[in-house]
Amino acid sequence: MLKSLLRSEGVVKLEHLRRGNKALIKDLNRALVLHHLRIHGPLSRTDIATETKLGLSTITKITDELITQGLIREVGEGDSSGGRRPVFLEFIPHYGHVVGAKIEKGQLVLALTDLEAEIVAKDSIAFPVGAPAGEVLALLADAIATLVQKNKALIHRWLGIGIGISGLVDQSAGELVFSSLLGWGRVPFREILSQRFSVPVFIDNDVNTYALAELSYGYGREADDFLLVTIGAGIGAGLILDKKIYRGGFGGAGEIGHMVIATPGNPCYCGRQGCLEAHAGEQFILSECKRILSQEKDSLLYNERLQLTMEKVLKAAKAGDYAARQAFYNAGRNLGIGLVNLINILNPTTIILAGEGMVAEEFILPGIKGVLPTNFFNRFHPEYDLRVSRLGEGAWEKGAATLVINELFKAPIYQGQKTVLSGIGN
Amino acid sequence: MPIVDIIDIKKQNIRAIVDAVRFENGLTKKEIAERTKLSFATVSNLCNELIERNVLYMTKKDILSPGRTPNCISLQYEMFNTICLNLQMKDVMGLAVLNIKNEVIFMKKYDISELKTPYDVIKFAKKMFETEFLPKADPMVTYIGIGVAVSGIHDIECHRLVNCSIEMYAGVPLKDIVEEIFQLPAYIDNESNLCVLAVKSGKTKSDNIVYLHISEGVGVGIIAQGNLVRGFRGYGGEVAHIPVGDHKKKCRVCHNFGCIENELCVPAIVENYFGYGQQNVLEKWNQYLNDIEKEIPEAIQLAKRNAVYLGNLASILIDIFDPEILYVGGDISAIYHVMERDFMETIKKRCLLLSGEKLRIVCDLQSETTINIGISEFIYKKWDI
Repeated sequence: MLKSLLRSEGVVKLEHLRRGNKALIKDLNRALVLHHLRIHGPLSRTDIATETKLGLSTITKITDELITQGLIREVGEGDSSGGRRPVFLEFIPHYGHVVGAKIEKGQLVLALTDLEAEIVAKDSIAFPVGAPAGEVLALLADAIATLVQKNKALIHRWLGIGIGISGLVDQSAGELVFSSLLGWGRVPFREILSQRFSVPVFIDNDVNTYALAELSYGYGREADDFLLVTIGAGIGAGLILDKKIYRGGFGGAGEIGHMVIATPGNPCYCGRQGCLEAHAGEQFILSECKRILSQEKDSLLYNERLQLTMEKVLKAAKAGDYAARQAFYNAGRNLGIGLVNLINILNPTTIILAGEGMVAEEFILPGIKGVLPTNFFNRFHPEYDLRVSRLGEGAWEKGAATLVINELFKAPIYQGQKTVLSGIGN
Repeated sequence: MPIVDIIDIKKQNIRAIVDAVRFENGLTKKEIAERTKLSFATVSNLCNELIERNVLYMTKKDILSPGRTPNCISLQYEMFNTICLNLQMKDVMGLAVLNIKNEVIFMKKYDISELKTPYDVIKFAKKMFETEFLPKADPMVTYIGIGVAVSGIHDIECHRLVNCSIEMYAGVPLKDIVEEIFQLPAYIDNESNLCVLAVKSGKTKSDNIVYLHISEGVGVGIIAQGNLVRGFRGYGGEVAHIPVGDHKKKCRVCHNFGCIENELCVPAIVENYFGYGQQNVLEKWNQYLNDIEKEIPEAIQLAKRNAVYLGNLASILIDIFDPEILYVGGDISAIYHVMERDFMETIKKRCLLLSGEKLRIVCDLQSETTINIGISEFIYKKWDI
């Protein structure tokens, strides 16, 4: 159990470790008990002792301290197996709240969540496409302040801000390095927001935050390694290896949208040819639909072939239109080729598809599934599980909130670490 | 490395001490304690135990000091060897012996075209080890294991080779055969994985490395966040059938079109240059290398075309993994100097990430030695000291 708690720490850096003494052991045991209640609760003290292999008296002492701190509570009795009826304990998610925000093209989406990333309040603010970073950052800060202020009656402790953004992020410095979607260069999010708010600020690539949400609350809970592929305006991937986000040497891992899947292939907006996005993204679906329509005069979309939008194509597909369905199917096949490459390289146990593009799930998936098995080597077929994310609305903001939550509940093995157990927010 | 069980602590500490002294010319106990963050008492006790077991030895440190001359602890690296078998090329067996500082003591290649079964190959390896190496070796040396490099996937659940480009080894329980014949712990892995392990164990401090190995086949070894990416059951790292080659060409292995292995590996290059159905692939490959040296236009043109394919493949890996270093190794390194310019241009064109500019690209001209170092490193890491 300690191993799973420490797993998320990654490679342990010896030079920053706390000294091995009674205080460390006590904190580790407290973290272990809290971890079990968060993940598997409600549990009785005996259950916790069995799971953690700590003594019952130790568990009793720790749970009393956690109850006093306000992190857990007793929630009723279970059935007796002969002796006293067990009393169940559960984690209190409203112990604190965090803000999770996603910066999209032309829109900020924010959510206030509890410590299980359940959304308690939301907001969204539009901004002009192409607006400079400084302007949007000021808007974001105001939006956060307003959200927190409006909901202050709900908030016992405000514990942090998490931000998901499209682009290359320096997570340790809390900075955006660049974003081609937003047209921004280096933006020191943590530095600027910390001048206004006294809570910790975390930022990561938005696909990574979604992967975190899947890892913590979705299908990723059952897998050590999985690949999250998001399909929307662009196509991106979050890689989870051994329950940790893989960021790469410079923070840019997972850029699959411009992976070559065809040579020479279609021209892409990035200036290259044959990119996955140019063969499976929104623009491909629209142009493919238009191409098919040239021979489908009976199509529902024929008269609108010069003004196609994704909404129109999706609506037509749902109504059974051949051209619309075929366009999605062909995009699915090309996405399947990209997925085959990724499955071969990474051999993940699970692939999770997510993003706005999956509203067309029933039309894209057949194309994907048609390609996947036929493109493996004929001698063996690696096992994998293909799923569509069921995190629902607010998944991106939940993921951003999880950036903060994970930090708050990390095992307290480093010097100066701020966690709920060290009393952050009190 | 996270400590997970109190019983493991002593083993972890022993490992930490041996790792600390392994590549050094002697450290004092104080220096070892500082490096490993263990207490001096723990280091002293364990060093004494390891000296008794002849894993370490003690000498006086050769320094001018006003106080007591400190003792120096060194690893008895010459007393522990690893045996390395390289079976990744068809009809060729490489046999090497390394010490645990990864220094090559013995390395030789053998023609095994007459041998028909894996059992025959391993028996032959044992015979060569006993007749050509052992007579000259120190009889007090301990062999801590034997490792085998293969071109294919070693399924870590069923311990058989799958998708091996050399038919003879496909589906074979090679680990069992090697252990039976050599009577040593045996470890099997794909040559690309071993190469990337080798470079990780060397001077590089990087935790994110990609090693593209191209010889009999096309494979990739990936270190991500300091760990080898194997995937579920060890099937990760297969890039041979990524469709970035000639999309009109049907693959004989998977029957799809455009697989990169139909362009980049040694048998494919030989076929593309000399024509279909070549016997004696190695001889033809050497002929191709001579033509490159003589700057025969067709040979150069083929190399430049392959440089673009290699660049497309590399840029996919760079965009997925964002590595700090990319290695290119295997027999392809013999023509890398001709490919380099077009290869680098393709990467610059295709790589989305700005970090493409920070990325170091290295051609490994000694990849046979690298494979042996990788095998030795693999065995060392599994060694129960």
